[in-house]
Amino acid sequence: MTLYKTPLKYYSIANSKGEFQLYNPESNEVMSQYDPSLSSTTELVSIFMSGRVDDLGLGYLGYRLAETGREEGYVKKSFKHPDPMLPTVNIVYDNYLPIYCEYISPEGKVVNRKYLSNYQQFGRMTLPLRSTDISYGNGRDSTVVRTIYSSVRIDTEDPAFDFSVPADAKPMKLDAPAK
Amino acid sequence: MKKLVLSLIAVCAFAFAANAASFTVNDSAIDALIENSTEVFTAEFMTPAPAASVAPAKGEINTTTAFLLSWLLGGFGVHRHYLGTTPWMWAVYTFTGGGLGVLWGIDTLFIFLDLIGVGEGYLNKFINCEKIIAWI
Repeated sequence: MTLYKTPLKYYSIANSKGEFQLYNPESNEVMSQYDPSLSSTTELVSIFMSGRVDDLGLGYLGYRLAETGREEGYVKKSFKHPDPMLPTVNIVYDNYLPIYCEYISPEGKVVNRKYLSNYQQFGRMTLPLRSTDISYGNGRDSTVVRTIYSSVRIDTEDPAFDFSVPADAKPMKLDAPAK
Repeated sequence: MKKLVLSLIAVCAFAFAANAASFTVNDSAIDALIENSTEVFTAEFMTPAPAASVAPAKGEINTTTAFLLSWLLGGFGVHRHYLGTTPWMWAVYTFTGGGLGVLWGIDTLFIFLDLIGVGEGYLNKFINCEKIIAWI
């Protein structure tokens, strides 16, 4: 469950099966959808909580380990999907923790790079508190997404975990501006 | 001879340090980039989706436009609405970060391949597609 606070308040709820809901508390509207790609298991936090750091959840998407080697002193693994049209994914590890991930198109072009850093231990879980995604378009343009995790707490009680979409929530009307 | 060996070691050490940096990013530069960027309020993208539920005729679709929308605004699913999809698709893209970046990146790749004629027909996968992963 994710609560977005700014600039708009929304609840995002997803389970491991891919059942996904978006809820607007101000309008009491909800959008529900099912798709395996929306599964909570694809979230970065979920991946590290479940210890699936070895492939960053790629196995769930159908990827298989194709090659393992060393580069510049780091372990590097290459994952490929049975569908040749899907990108190859290379992951670089430092002390068994992934620090770098790149998606390479079938034409050999790097379309996305992910950098993971500032690893910290929280109980049994090690989590990168900083993630930087760089997606490359045509030419010299790129898009940068920075994700920073802070105030991480585990094994704690929080009323937010008890949240559920009200039974009287209306289907979300996405053909009108949000309030 | 000793100087040559020391120089060689220094060059190798420098080369190693420079190449090792290829797997890390300059966090300060990224922070500065974001701090100096212009904030766009999300609600600006929540205007009524014109004809989002109306299936576009294939002849009305411009591949270049679809590619530009995917490349520039793909993280918000704008290209999917241009090509015809369910009214809520923008929300899926926006609140999942463009499908963790993978969905958006692969969408852009397929549309680009269709645009340059290498993947002719790839764009058809997206037209009036209600599936989140259009290319499967």
